[in-house]
Amino acid sequence: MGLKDERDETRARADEATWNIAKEVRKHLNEKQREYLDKKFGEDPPEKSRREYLKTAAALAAGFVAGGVVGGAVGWFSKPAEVIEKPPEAVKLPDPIKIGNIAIRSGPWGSYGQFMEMGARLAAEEINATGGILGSKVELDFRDDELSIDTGVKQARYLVEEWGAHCINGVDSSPVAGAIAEIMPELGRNFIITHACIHTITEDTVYRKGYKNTFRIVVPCPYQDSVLLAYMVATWPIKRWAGIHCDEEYGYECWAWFQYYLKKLRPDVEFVENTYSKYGTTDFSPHISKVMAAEPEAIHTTLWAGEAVMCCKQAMTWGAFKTLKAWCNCMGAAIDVLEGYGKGGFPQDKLWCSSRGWPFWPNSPQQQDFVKRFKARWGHYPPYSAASTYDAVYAYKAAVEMAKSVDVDKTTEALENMAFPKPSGLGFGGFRKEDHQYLYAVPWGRVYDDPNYEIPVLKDLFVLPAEMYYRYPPFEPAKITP
Amino acid sequence: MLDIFLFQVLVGIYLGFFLWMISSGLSLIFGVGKIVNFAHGSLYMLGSYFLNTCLIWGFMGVKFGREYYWLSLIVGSLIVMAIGIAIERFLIKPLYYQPPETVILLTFGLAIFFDDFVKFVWGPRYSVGSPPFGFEQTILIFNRPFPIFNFLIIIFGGLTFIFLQFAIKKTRWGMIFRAVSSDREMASALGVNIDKVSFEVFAIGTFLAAFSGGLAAAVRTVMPGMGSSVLLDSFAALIIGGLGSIKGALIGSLIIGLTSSLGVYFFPTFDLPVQFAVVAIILLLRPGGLFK
Repeated sequence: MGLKDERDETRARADEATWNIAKEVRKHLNEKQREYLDKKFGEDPPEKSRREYLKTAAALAAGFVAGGVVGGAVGWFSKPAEVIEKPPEAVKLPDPIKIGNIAIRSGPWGSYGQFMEMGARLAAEEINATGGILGSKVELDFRDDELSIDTGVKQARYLVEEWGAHCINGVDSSPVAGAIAEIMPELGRNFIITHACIHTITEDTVYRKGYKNTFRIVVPCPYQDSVLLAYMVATWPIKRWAGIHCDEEYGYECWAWFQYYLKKLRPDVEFVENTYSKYGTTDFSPHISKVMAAEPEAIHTTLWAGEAVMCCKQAMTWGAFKTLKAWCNCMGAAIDVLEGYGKGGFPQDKLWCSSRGWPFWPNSPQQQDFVKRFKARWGHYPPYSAASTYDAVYAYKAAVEMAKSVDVDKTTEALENMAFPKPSGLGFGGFRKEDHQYLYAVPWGRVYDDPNYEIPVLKDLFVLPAEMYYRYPPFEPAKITP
Repeated sequence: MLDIFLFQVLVGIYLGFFLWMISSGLSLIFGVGKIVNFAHGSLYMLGSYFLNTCLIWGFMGVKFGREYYWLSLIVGSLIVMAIGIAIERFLIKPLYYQPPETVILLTFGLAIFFDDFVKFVWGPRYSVGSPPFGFEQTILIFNRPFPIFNFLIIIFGGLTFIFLQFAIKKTRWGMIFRAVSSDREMASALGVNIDKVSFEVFAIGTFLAAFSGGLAAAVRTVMPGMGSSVLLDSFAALIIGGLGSIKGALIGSLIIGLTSSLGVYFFPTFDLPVQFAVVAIILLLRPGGLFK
């Protein structure tokens, strides 16, 4: 990687992607905001102004344009295109409004529960400091699902039936999220998924089965980790791919889809070997030696959290990078994973990672401000699950304010119909009505050490508009045979 | 194809010797006290954490630094050995003549306690180390790179076995150990200080667990709960080999390592069931284990 032509092409595609995102944001502004943008930049600004255009459009949506009349009127995301009116006296909301959060809080993955708590608490503190949700304070509770379906469902029932939650946020594990989504109609509450990644939750549970209480605010991984990746690597001079994957649906789906989409773009590539490892694998040596025996040029891996770091570092110990040209780690640009690698602790120039929410892209003023506030509060860059939980609390706030009620039918309708630029700055659209999936673009990038940051960060970002790689209704079953 | 198979066998031998380093201590402790120590995985985990503390994280600003891996390994293991001795003296010793399930419950509780203890002291996040200076390279075997550090683990495992076998078979201490393992009450009646033997064995077993954990910190993820991942394999190794048998623990560990490595290669989706199918077949043929 690194041929000049490929870099230029990637940069051109990124510029085009930036402009497409800017146009998307513009659609969600009101007439006065659009007028302001067009007057400042023209309707089709030159390439060098397009990033500035996007920043300004995003700032308008966030209400951050200094001195802008329309910016000041928008407020803080509750209704991006309309001014929030003071509710009439007749609106009665419960006080406090309770948001329950379910995450893994024990065992090796316990830090993910901590991340969610960070995001939720920051959002609640900010909301309560500015008057709450139409005067009602936000109250949070956090429960551990132990990565178990039974425990997750039990916790959801406890939060709603005993604690009195009006909304549930979470969960890490896709099977647990799917199980909770199926009981939400019975519990009569909204469920906003902030981490679980498998596409079947929205495609099957929401769209096909009609469990409409559930929304997902974070990107479904197979879209970014298979389809988007295929677009990125299609131009690479690499023909032999191998896979090291987690032994669950996410791993199988991502690998199958990656092969399918890349083969369409590059019929000459070969998929020479793959292996699946169970959660809790302590030593990947047999997996590494198995795939390296097939002499691949690059690895596609869906291992995550500590296992991702361990596998890559063990591969380094095994001398794999003497021959490998790239290691594509899906969800590898999670803050905890990059901290795990540490500076200098990864294969230089060969580690590529995707992010479900990169704190430094698109780097709008609102995102920079969010990162600054999060770091000031927690001493830590925001992990993507923290940012998505933060956004989820605000999303529910926006829905309640729009619906002027916590009635689940009304808040569901509000969530479906509202434009909702994420207050973390990671997305500018809203939830799709059909499957309740939030559409936003995420980057792949190459990991490197930047002296300005304490952790490794990404460069050479590859970004496409989400519309290019998200799946659409009717979501034909993906019977992919490579 | 043959060289790929043989290389995978070598990987299995490495895994087996790593597991042996962990399970040897468990076997010693069971042999003397008939104690099923569910906290053994926690001692392995503490070995990793204390190595990292000595090496890179520091305590009250004091740390050795990356160049002092071996010193950190010894110091960390000694610290955990002291913890193990304290556990034996104050918690397990009073229960030696109680029903065995009492000790099982105690050690199980300790395992849960230590999982939360490391989170409380060091935080819930994970850390992955690197082999120490001078051991980061690989050597070519069957024309493929094999890490020197992993070879070192095989050597350590072999030396541990030789040392333990020599100590148990050729020394007076070993004779006493065998007597107590064989019949604790008779040994006591003959004047053997059971208390002292139990203390010594627990100290050695804990040191071995912590030492393995320190080695693991160089190549595996250090994180809360890491001990439970190896505990199941350790018990499987002991059961295959025969509870209380040092030689059995080694053979059992090698069988687990080889089935894991070859299972990944030949039965990728079923490697774990294959592993435990082998365990089941051995137990059907030899219910007491291979060397009972």
